[in-house]
Amino acid sequence: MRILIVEDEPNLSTQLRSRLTQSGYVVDLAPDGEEGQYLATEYPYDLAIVDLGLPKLTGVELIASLRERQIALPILILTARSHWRDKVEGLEAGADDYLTKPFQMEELVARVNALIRRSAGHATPVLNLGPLTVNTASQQVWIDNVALEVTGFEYKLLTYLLLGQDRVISKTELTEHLYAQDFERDSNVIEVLIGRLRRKFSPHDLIQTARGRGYRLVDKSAPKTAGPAPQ
Amino acid sequence: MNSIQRRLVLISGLVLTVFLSLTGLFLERTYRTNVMAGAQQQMQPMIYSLMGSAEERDAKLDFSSGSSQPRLQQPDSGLYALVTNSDNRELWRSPSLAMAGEALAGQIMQVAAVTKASPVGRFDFVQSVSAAELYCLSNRVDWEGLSDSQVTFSICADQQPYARTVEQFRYGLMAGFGSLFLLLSAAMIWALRWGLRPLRRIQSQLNELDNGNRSELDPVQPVELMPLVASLNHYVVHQEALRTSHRQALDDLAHSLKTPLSVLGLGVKESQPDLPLLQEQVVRMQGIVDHQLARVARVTQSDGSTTQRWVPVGQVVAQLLRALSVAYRDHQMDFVESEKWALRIHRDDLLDMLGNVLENACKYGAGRVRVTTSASGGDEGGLLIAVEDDGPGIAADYAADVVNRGTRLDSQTTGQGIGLSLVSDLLSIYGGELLIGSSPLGGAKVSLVFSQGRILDALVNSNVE
Repeated sequence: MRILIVEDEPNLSTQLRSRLTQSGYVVDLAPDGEEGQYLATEYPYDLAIVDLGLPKLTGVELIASLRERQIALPILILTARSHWRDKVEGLEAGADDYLTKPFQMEELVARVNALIRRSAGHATPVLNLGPLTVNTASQQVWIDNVALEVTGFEYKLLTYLLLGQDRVISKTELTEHLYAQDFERDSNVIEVLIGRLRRKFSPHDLIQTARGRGYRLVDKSAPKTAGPAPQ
Repeated sequence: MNSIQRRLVLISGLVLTVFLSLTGLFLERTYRTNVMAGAQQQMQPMIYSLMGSAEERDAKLDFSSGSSQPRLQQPDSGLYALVTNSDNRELWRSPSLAMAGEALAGQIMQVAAVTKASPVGRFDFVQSVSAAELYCLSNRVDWEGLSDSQVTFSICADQQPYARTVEQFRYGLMAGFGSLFLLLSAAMIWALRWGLRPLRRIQSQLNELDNGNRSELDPVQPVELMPLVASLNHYVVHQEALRTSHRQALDDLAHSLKTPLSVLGLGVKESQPDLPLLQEQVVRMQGIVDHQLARVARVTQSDGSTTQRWVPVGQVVAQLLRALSVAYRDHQMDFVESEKWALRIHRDDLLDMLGNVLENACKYGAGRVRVTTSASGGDEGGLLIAVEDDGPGIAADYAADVVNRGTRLDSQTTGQGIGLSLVSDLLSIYGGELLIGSSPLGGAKVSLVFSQGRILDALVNSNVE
């Protein structure tokens, strides 16, 4: 999952990046509103954390401009101002949640997790697919109710596929969401990670390859529902 | 004497009274003088006529042919004639005088005696008032051929007919000037009221400004008042700008203090997890900064009554519920509005109060939030806004601490406490009251009671946001 932090205080954004990276997120930083606008328009983020008191372009202006461009990523606003007018303006401009400074890092991470889950249509932190269970709060994975050891990258890949259930996700999209902006990308790594996950899920075949298009998570044991007739 | 209108009425009344009295006196005196001059002019031809009727016989004057003036022949006619010589001895008296008695004759004789000092031929007009009130005209002539050539002709007329004329004139004058006084006074009072109407209008506009029913004075005023109105409007705008700039400065201060405190707090927790004292102090500093800044901001913002408006409560609640339902998507939020209520308040203050209470209800409740507005049932009417949730509720002793302001405030950082103590602070500025109790939903019921709530329909003509 890839997160954009738009915050003008470098120390705070570094702390946020460090903590969110520990939680398995890929984090990019923007020091002002204009840079934030550019990055959010150019790269596919899963969430943005936006400070309201930004230089160049205020937080509210940034959010409004992103929503105007039909960019629907969840946005969490940070504000040092305790006035409700600012929060209401931010939420009305299109933000999805808010946090008032000073805040507890645990609360921020919980809000970020919840927002990402919510945007994928999941109300609780526990995601299920047939025999597979993932707790996004504790970052634990079970298969047939047996705890499964996964690496950081494997976990990121798994949750991204799980949140995009029933959708074919291309290798490019996975790469973009799992690596930071300045990271040298190698699509073979995705294939290696998929192979490792398949082995760990065995005998269940949960990861389906759509040749030339990408991957998707499916529970083949689930009864098939009637869909549109193939063309 | 602190009323301009009273001052103007008094001074105008005084000036009018003095002017009309002096004018009346002058006119009366002039008329009286004219009447006397008229009497003199009437009597002069009578003297000539008397001289004409006198004949010289044996070096003496003879009036046997009689006077041409019928009134001199009649008793009590009020017109008398007397002719005397140089020794002031009577040569002839008119029959009217002969019948009037010696006292009157003696009085006229004295008048004739005065003429002796005058040059021959001059007419002397005398007012005599000893036995009767008379106007007398005497003329001394040198009559050649007489043994005593110095002869004085005197004609006297009763003053009464003349005095009556003057009296009538005086009454007419008083009636005329009295009516004029009343008419001018009425006109003056009307003119004063009309002239002072713009001041009264400004006074009423100032009241409206103070009540929050107006944002500035009407700029179209009489030329003399325009600079004053412009200055007042400038002052009002300046105050508002000052308040906005204070708010901005405090917001900036909050931003520049809270962000480093966040960094410090997060950094300490990360790098010095074994130093709870340091962490605790950072948290405490955060709480103090948060609370004190918010408190100063509220006082700065809320003391200017001219910037308060009638704010529709329903709109603010709906706006907050709309915003909060984005962040708390799974919550069920209901709003029960008994009437369309309005409060005279800064919109931001109402947003902050309701925002804090509603956020607490969302955060600590299990998913149900209900907002109700109703009449508070006080003596002067008023509004009660209740926010209920289905959470664990607020303990009674904790609630008492929050409501009794000043206790535990700067040691609180998160949770119901800090939010509610801010609400309590803010409510006290508006003379409101915070009540904390239990809700039938199972959680807390936090009520904000305002004494100045009004139903919106009653404020049709007021300045409602």
